[in-house]
Amino acid sequence: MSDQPQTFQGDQPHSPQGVADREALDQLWDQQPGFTGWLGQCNHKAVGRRYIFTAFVFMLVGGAMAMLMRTQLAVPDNDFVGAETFNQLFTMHGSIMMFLFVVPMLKGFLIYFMPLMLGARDMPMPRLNAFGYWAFLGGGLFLLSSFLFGAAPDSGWFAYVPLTRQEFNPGLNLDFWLLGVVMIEISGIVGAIEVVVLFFRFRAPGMTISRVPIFAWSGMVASAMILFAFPPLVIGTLLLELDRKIGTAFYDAAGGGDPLLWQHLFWWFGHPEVYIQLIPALGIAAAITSVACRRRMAARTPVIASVVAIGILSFGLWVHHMYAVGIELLSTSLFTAASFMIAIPSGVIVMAFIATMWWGRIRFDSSMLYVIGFIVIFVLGGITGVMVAIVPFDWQVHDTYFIVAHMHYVMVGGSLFPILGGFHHFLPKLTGAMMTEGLGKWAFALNFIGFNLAFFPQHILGMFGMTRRIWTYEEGLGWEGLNLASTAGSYIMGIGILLFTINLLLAHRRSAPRAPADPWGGDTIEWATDSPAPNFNYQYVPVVESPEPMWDGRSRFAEAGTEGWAERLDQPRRGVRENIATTGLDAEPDHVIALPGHSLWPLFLTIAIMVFLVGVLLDAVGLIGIGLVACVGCAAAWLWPGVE
Amino acid sequence: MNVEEAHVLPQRIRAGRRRGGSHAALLVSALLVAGCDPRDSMLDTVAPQAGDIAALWWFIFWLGLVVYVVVMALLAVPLWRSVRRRRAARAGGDGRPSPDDGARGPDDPAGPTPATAPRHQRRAGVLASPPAAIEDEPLAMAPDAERPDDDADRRVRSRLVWWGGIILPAIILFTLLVAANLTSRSVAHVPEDEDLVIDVIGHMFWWEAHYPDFDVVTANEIHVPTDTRIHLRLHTEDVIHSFWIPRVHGKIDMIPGQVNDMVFEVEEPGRYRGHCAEYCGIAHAQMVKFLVAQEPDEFEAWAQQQAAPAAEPETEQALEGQRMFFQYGCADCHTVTGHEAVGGVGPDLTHLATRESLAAGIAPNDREHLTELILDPWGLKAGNPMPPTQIPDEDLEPLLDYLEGLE
Repeated sequence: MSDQPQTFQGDQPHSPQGVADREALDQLWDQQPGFTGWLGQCNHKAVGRRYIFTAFVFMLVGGAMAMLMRTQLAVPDNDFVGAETFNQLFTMHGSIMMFLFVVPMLKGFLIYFMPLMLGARDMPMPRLNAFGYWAFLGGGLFLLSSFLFGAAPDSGWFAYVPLTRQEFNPGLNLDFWLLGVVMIEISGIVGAIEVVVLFFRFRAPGMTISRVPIFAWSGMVASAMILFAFPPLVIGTLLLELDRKIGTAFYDAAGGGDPLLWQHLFWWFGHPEVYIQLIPALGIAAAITSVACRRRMAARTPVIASVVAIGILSFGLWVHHMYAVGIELLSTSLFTAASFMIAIPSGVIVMAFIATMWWGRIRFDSSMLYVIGFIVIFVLGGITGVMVAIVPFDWQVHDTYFIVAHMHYVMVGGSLFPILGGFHHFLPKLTGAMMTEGLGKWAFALNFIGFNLAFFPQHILGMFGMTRRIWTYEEGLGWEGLNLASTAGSYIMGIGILLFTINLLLAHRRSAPRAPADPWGGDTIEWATDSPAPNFNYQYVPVVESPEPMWDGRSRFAEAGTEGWAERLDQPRRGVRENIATTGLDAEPDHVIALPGHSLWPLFLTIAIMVFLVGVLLDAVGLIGIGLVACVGCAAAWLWPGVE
Repeated sequence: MNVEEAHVLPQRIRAGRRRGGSHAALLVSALLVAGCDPRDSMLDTVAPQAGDIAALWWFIFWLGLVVYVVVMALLAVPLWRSVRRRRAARAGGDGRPSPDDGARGPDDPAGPTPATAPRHQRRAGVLASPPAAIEDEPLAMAPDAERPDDDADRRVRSRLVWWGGIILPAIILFTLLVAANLTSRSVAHVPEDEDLVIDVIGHMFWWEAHYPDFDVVTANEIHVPTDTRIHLRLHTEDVIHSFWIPRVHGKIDMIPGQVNDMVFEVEEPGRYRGHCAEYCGIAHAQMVKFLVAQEPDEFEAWAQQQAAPAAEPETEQALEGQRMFFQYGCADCHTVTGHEAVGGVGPDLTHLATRESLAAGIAPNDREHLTELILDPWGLKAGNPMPPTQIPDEDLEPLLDYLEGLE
């Protein structure tokens, strides 16, 4: 055992006055009473939990769709769901997993944990943050409601034109998709702005830029990427909606447009998107690893540099989704080289994980098992990724099951596994519950085995000529055995996810044991506060002296008056929610900022936008007008001084 | 391509294919155990283009396998150490490795294994201190963790991150880039004047082929001569499709507003299958085509025969069927050259009976499937743009006779 002093102990008051202040702070940061209070809550913990819960439900829906598809493909000439349903299923599976599960789930983790990790009390713009959630929920429900009208989107999550133009897709299917996606993208951009501002201005005093946890770095990089990646898709979808609704010809070759414009806009978003989903998950994995190995992440600075490098390089790769569209070889070769380049920072990160574990002091909690599973799966996905970056090889396997396998190795390995591990690791701080290790390990084993059985054979299927997005195949092509194995694997993984969900639910039963403040011996300051985090996060301002404030023996909570700068944030003043804002690089205390609380206007604004979207969907000019007026009204009321 | 290269290339290709062939045999035999007999494998090649790509695949496959095994071995080291330590902890109760533990680390109370320490120090100047040390901050540990030796830890970090994460990957990737570009050049689509040109047009959900040199129009079964450079000009009537025959060459998309080139030559006669490879709507799964490679003289004969107008109906019944073809509106969409039917929307039926498959390669061309296609096109292929036709039996039989006589 170490003889280091442990000064960063629980954030508890030592005087009767402190206890009373704590009580008052709790009141101040709590939600207002009643249902409207619950609706109008905009504290980052409420919003983060909502994101995580909603995204988890969407994951179960998307996963169920995947199992329906695998059932259809289990045997040749099957007619379990049929062509039309199958096309809707694969479109919605992709859209849900991309837009409604991974990104919002990771955003939920960022919104909940980044302020805690950085020592802030809330996001910098709490009401905008709440709006981000409502927009995500609204867009998601809008997208899913298409099933009720039998008009689920059926043109793939990539929505290539001209198949998505009015002439080939006259129903409402694509309008549901386009409008829903615009809404979700707005939510994404809003959340990203929050995270970037939070990262630069809301860090605890002393948390200089070099002491920021890797998790927070990854959150900032992914959010900055969203700011550059999502707007092109918003523009792209709006142009397509204009093509569909009022007959413009942005993507119509006959009208002087270009269908490839859509592919460029889409993949300019779509390629960074996969890294947007990977990078925060890497942050979760890094947080788990350093705690499970009881030491700092090895090569911390190169890892952060690699994350930033991936964020920048990922914008130079989009054409590797388009090798077969007839772009000349010299141009595509440049994208091969660029795609290879991104393997280097990825390799650095994987090696840093191994170096962190090197001396063999790993505690094999379920969370760490998921991190190990992530490395085993993700490295294989990375290797096939380098393969498909090669133009002639990609000409063969592009749009086959080889790509399906590669993409799931990267996304499930790189995002889903760290997310599941993140649940095990962060649940104490999230809800105060702890998941059972025994059940957790069974679920991990089933997920790991099921995943590999489901997706490894698909590499071979692709090389045997099985194209993507086919709802049936005939007998005698040599695909039967591998498809059956793949389906069996998907069922096993389905059971794994089911066990995981049961574990999650059991952890929240009334009689379940409650988590201590720091069950794992964590390194970052969120483990210094209660589990779950109290309404105000920290009563006393944390002062951070290293990247691992819980371990360094010097970081501490500042008592009022003991530091020259310390204003009395440990007691509510003027009845206003306050947070300390610090400078961007050195985290010197700069000023105290008042944060808004409870508001229903973000919700009302979302509803107004939804009215507008439904109007556009149904070509109802009246609804469009009402929606627009309501949007302006809600925005004005939201911003009006003194209106709550 | 200059003369010298042209001379050398086929040998290289053949060598590559032989190598590829033995690997393929290995893989195939392994998979036969699992009950697979792939019909359209991209590794079972019949063209130099696919052969080159298959050779490239085996190169990147073995390279990738080695990289994966090495990374997994590196990952196994700490996992194995941890498992041993935990086992030792259960046995001894103190969580430390037993004295006979071969994997004794530098953090061990007994000190690092003596033989390794000086060697590391000797090499430190060369290997362990690349441009800048990875990290010179003191190692932060959880208060209750055991501290590994800082120097040894720094060495491990440097080696793994610099060599495993940057230097070796950079060398491997550069090698790969050279191999990729060599293959790219050898399989690139560079049309030349003497190529046999075929226009292939994608439709929802079938393939139309025009042979401008022979005045031939056909559908879904594209005949080509062997050992001849073929230049496909790919375009589309409606949405994006993608032309792919795995055993011959990689895929190229068919995109509105542009013509994409595809150049290959087939070395072995045979029927080679391929799906549409870009999602194109409801019946995307059932949009199949065959590339039929024939010896040049056989191809010549085929083209002559296809260029001729349709055969005259030979029986009374078939003549009656020709009337039905017009009466039931078949001729509104389908062309039969020589019989005054100029539809131009659906596949050209002038020589329907010479094709082996129906409805874009998804059913054999026999009376039973022809009947189904006419009466219930969606039963055969959901999303088929062909409308169902109500035809009483006494009219259907002559129609079928007529269609089966279109040789």
